[in-house]
Amino acid sequence: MVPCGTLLFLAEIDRIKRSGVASQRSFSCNYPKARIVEEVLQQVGILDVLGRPSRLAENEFGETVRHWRFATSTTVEGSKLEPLLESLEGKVAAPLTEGLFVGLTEAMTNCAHHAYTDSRGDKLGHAGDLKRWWMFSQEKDGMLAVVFCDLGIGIPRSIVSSGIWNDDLIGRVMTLLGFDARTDSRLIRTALELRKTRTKLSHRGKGLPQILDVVRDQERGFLQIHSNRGLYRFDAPTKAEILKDFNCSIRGTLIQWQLPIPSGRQLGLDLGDNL
Amino acid sequence: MTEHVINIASEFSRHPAGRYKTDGEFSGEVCRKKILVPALKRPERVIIELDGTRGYGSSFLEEAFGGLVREESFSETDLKNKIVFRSADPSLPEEIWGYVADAQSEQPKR
Repeated sequence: MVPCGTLLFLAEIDRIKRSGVASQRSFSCNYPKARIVEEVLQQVGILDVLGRPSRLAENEFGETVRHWRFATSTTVEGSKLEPLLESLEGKVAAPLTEGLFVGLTEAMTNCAHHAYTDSRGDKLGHAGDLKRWWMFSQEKDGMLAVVFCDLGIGIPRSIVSSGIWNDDLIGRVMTLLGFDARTDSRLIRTALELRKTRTKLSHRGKGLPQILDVVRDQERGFLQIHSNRGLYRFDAPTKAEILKDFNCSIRGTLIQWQLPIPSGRQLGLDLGDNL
Repeated sequence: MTEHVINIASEFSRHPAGRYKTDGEFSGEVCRKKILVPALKRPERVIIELDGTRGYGSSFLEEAFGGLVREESFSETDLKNKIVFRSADPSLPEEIWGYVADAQSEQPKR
């Protein structure tokens, strides 16, 4: 199970359940055959959301499973990052923990301001409780993965519809970047560039580049932003940017940071506001 | 001029984040209205200690400090005469003064 796909899966089910359109029996599952899979599903709340009672003792979970943690909210809550940041102290340089705090809280702020401004197209609407973000962290093989997602309109739609940048400016920045046709991946890359620029309302839209700042100076790791049909990836060691477009849209935004962690101590996020 | 010292981490939050009040209880707007504006109305010089938090996102800083010009009618000159920042990271006060200058440049000329 990879963190980004697992988070998206959980977020979609959570959104449907919170919307009230599904009955309690709409989702179900059997317990997995492999114990480690059951441990993970229990740890991140998927068994619960699928209506299966937790039956394993958490203190017996494997070392790798204990490092999966989950958080969700509808507001910008930096305190939810404290257990993660605390566990990183003394293991990584202070600018990295600061960068993670800033990158994640700016992602939460972007979610609050831009993600749910229009219909997502799933007919569920955006009642207060559905304007939500979800997050996982996982430590594995000396790397920390932090995944953050919302199920909103996606960056490619929001930069066009937000009204912060006019279409002419978007077109000119795309030309400067060497892009001709508009694809979602190119619009994500353009959004990173646009948010550095001054606009008529310069107090809006400065957050997104700080998401990239977390990995910019790292020797290992990457940042990946998957929004609607597009994917943007910044590879820290090579500083290469990769753009890719898919046939299907995830209808939302999934941001993943992967960063090196020198030792294998337990890392985690607040489990408050659980499913 | 005597001094009034504000420590953001201890008097507001170790986790300042978000722009508007609706974003969360420790947003830039809340900090501005609850901490900064009352301090700036006092006669003393205001010393703002920035160290001790987990960090500051641009949305928070812009709304807290740029908002002093945009929403609270302070001028950049007023603020420069009144506020002194203390921070181990010298780029932070520089970033904040940049937001104040941007907000000032957006104000209609009197």
